[in-house]
Amino acid sequence: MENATQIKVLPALVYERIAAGEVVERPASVVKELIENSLDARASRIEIELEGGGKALIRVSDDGHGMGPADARLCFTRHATSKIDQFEDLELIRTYGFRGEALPSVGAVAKVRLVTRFRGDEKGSEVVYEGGRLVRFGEAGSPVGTDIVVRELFYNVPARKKFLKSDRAERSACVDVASRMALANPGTAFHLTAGGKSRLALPPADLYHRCVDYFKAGREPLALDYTSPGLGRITGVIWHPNRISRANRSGILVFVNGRSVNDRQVVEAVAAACRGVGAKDRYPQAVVFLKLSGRQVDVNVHPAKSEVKFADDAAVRRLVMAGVTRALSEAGEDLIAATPLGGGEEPPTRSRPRRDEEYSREPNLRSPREPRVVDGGAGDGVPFTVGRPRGGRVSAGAPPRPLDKPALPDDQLNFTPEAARQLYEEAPYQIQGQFADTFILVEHGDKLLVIDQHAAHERVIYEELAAHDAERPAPSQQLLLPPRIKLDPRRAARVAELLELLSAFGFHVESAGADSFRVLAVPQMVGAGDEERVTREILEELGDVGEDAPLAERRRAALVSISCKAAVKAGDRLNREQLVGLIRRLLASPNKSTCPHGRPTTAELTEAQIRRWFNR
Amino acid sequence: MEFVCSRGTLFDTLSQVTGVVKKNPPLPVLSNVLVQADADGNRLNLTATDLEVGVSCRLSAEVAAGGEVTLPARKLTDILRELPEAAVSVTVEGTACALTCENAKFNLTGIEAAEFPPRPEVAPETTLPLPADTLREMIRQTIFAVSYDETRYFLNGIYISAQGKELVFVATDGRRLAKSTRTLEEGDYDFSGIIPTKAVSEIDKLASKVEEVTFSLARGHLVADFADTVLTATLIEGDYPDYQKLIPQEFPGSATVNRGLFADATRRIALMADETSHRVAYEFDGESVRISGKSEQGEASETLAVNYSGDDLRIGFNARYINDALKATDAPEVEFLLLENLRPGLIKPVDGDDYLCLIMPMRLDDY
Ligand SMILES: Nc1ncnc2c1ncn2[C@@H]1O[C@H](COP(=O)(O)OP(=O)(O)OP(=O)(O)O)[C@@H](O)[C@H]1O
Ligand SMILES: [Mg+2]
Repeated sequence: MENATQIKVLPALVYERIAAGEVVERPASVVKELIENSLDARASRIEIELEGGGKALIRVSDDGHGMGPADARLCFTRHATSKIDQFEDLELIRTYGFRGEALPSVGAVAKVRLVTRFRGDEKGSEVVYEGGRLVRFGEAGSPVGTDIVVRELFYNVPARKKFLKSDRAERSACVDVASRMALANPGTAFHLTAGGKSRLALPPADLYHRCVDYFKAGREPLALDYTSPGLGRITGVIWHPNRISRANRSGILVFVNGRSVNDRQVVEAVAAACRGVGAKDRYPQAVVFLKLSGRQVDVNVHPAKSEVKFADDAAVRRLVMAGVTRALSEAGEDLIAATPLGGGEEPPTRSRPRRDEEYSREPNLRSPREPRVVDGGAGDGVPFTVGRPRGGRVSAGAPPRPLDKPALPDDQLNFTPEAARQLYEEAPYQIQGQFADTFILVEHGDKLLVIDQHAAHERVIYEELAAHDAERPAPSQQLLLPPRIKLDPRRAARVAELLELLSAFGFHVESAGADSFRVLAVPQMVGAGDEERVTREILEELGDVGEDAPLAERRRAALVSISCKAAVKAGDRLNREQLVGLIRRLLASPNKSTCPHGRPTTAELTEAQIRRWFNR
Repeated sequence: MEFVCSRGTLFDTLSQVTGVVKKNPPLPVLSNVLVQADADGNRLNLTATDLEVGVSCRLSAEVAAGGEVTLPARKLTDILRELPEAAVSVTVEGTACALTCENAKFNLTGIEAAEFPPRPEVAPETTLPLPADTLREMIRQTIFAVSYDETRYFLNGIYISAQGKELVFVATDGRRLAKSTRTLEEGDYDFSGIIPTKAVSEIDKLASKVEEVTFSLARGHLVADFADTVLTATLIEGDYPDYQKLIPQEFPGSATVNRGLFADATRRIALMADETSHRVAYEFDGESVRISGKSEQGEASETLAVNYSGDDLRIGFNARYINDALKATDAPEVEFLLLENLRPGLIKPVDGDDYLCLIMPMRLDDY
C-alpha cells in the first residue's frame, strides 16, 4: 500500500452530500470517534484511558496499522479521509469513518497529541494539534499503531465546556459508548480505565461470549442467527424473557452494520417478537446485529451516526421478528402467551389466568407449587392458608432452591391483627381467600373482585414510598452483614449517580470500588434475607435509566423499580393477616386500580355474570 | 411380616416420626413411613425422612414374623387416630398390608422397603450429652433469629460450636444475631456445624419428651439420640460468618432495664409505630429512656426509668426485634448495650453471659 496517498481531500460535492454536523459534543463523542478510527485501522487491542470523566484527558491507543508521516500530517485536515473517494462509495460503506471529520473536529476544540507508526515504517511520527492549529509535527519513536491523547476538551470553547456534566456522568457516557463498541467488535480486546480504575476488561472472544462476558449474566443467552436472502442477516444474542427480562426496552441493544444505533423500529420488533413469552410489560435483554447490504441503509441521517434509515422498514422488521422468534422457539420453551385476565363478558373458560411466572426471573428454580394447607381446624369454612413451619435448606453445590416453600416472613407485608379485624368490620369488602397463590378474591357488594397481589402490593409500596424524599427518607434497617453487589461497568457507572436518590427510599448503598456496591440498609418491607436480591434487581434496573433523564424521571424509575422488586410475587403464599393488610392498604391507596406500570390491579365479575354461566 | 401392638403406642410413636414428612415430597416413598419388625427382639422400628432430616423410633410389639415395608404415613396416622383403644394387628404380604383392630379391617398398599432411602452411615467423631432442658433453652435463645433466605443458605440454621468445654449456639438473619452459650461440665470438644432449622425444631419437639439428649457429630451429619428415638440430620455445608467479629467488644453506653417493663412499653409504643417497619425510637439519657413511635395515624411515647451510663443517645429499632430478644431470656433485669445510632445494640441478662442478642438499628434520619 502506498501510504503517502491513502488520505485524499474529498471533493466539495461529496462533502456537501454528507449531512454535516457537530461531531464533538462531549467526551463520549470523542471516545466514540477515536475507537472507530482504531477499529477502522484493524486494531486487535484498544486501550482507553480517561481522566476527569474524559474532560481532562482521553487517551486511545491501538495496535492497528497506524499512519505514515504524510497521513499523520493530513489527518487533522477537514475531509481528509482514507476511507472513501467518490460519493458512489458511500453506498457501500464498510468502515466506521467516512467523513474525514472526526479528528479535525477534535483537534479544533482540544489539545491533541497523536503518535503513530505505519506498519512497515521504521520510524513513527508525532503530531500536536491545539485549538485547530498544528503545533508540532515530527519524527517520534512509536510501536506500530496509533496513540492519541486528547486533553482539556473545549478549553477554548467555554460555552461548550460549561454544558458538560459531572465527571461521573461524562465518564459513564464514555464507558457506555466504549461498551457498545466492544459488543460490536468482539474480536478486539477492549480495556478501559477511568481515574486509574479498570472499567472494562474484555478479552477477544466471539460475539456470544463477548455478550456473556459483558453482561456478566450467569444465564446463557440464546444465539440469534437468521438470514433473509437479498436483505441481510440478524445475529447476536437474546436472553429468554423467562430468564432475564427488563422493565423497559433499554436492555435491547441494536447494531446495524457494526454501528450502535438507536432505532425504535428494530427495538420494537424485538419486543414484539417476545410478546407473550415471559411476563407482560417486561422486555427482553438482547444484543441484535443487523447486517444489511449497504443499499438497504442510510447511515447518514444523524451526524453522530447513531440513527439509520432503512430502505425498506417492513422488510427489516420481518427479518428481526423472524430471527428472534426462531431463536426463542428453538429454545423449546413455552411460547404460548398468557391469556389476560378476562374482560367481564368473556365466558369463564377463556378467562382462565395462567399462573405464569410473571414476575419471577427464575421460574425454573421455583419449587412446584404445593397444595394449599387448609386451616381445617378453624372450621369457619374460609379457605385461608395457614403459616407452616418455615424451613428448608439448600444443599451446597446445587442451585439454591426452597425445599419447602415458606410462607412469607411476616414483616414483608405488615399489619396487625387489629387492622385485620377492622377490615372485617368495615365489611363492604370481604376477603374470600387467595387463588393460585397469585390473586386475592374479594367479595364486594354483588361483585367478586380478583386482585393481582403483585400489582396491588406494587401500588401500595409505590404510594407509601412516594411520600419520602431526601429530607424525609423512608424508615430503613441497618444490616449486620451488608451484602456486596457487583454490576457490569456500564450500569455501575450510572448507578453510582443514583445512590443519593435511593437513600430517600430507605436503600442506603455505598460504592465499594470496582463496580461494586455495599448495601448498608434497606427499608423494612424488604424481607430479611431478601436484601441482596431485591437491591441487586433494583440497581440493575436503575443502571439502565438514561443518564440524561431529568431527576423527576429518575425518581419515578427508582420508585417503580423498588415497588416491583420489593412487592410480593405471583406464587407467594400469603397468610390471612397478610391478605387483609394488603387489601386494606390498597383500599387506602390513591390510584388503586392500576400498578405503577399501568397494569390493572383489579378485575371484577358480577354476580349476574356468574349466574349466567349456570343459566340461572 | 406380622405383629400386634397397642393402638396408643403405635399412634404415639408414629406421631414422633411423621413430623418430618413433607406434603409433596420429591419421591413418593418419602410420603411413607418405613416399618421394620424384628422377630427376635419383639421390636418395631418406624422411620420417616425428607432426605435432610430423618427420625427413627423404636417400640415394643409382639412380632410373629419379621420383615419390612413402607406405608403411607398420613393415611396410617389418620386410621390409627380413629381406631378404638385396643390391640392392632398388622399383616404384610409383599406391599399389601392388612390392619385389624377389633372388628375394623383396613387394607393398605405400601411401597417396598428397598425404595426407602437408607439412613446415612455416620461414624461419630464427637459425642455430646446434653440435658434436654438446656438444649431446649439454647434453641429458644437462638432459633428466632435464623434466616429463611435461600441465597444465604448457610444462615438457614443454628450454628453449633463446641470448643473445649464451651458450647455455643448462634443464629442470624443479617439484621440481628442471637447467641447462647453454656459451659459443659466435662469434655474437651472441637466441633462446629450448622444444623438446619427444620432439624432444630424437630429436635426441640423430641427433646420435650426426654431428660437427656445425646448428640453424635460427624462431618456433615448430626445424630441426636433421645432414648428410643434417633434423629439424623444433614448439616448445612458452608462457612458460617465469623460471628465473633460482628459483636463489638466495647460499648460506651449501657442501660440496665427491667425486662418485663421494657418489653411492655415497647409493645405499647409499637402500636403507633410505622406499620411496615415497626420502628421505635429510644432516647437514653442519665436516668431514663424515652420510647416513641409515630406513623400517619398518630404518635405515642413513654418514659421509663433506667440506669443508663454513657453519652445521650437516640437510636431506632424494629420493635419486633427488641421483643424477640427480650422474650428469649427469663432474666428479670437485662442490660442494653449501645454504641452509636447506626451501630448495633446488644441485649443480655444483667448477670450472666449465657445469652446475648445483637440487633442492628433502624435509621432515624427523618425522625
Ligand atoms: N487510529 C488510527 N489508525 C490509523 N489511521 C487513523 C487512525 N485514526 C485516524 N486515522 C486516519 O486519519 C483519517 C482521518 O480520521 P477521521 O476520524 O478524522 O476521519 P474518518 O475516520 O475517515 O471519518 P469520520 O470523520 O467519519 O470518522 C482516517 O481516514 C484514517 O486514515
Ligand atoms: Mg473516524
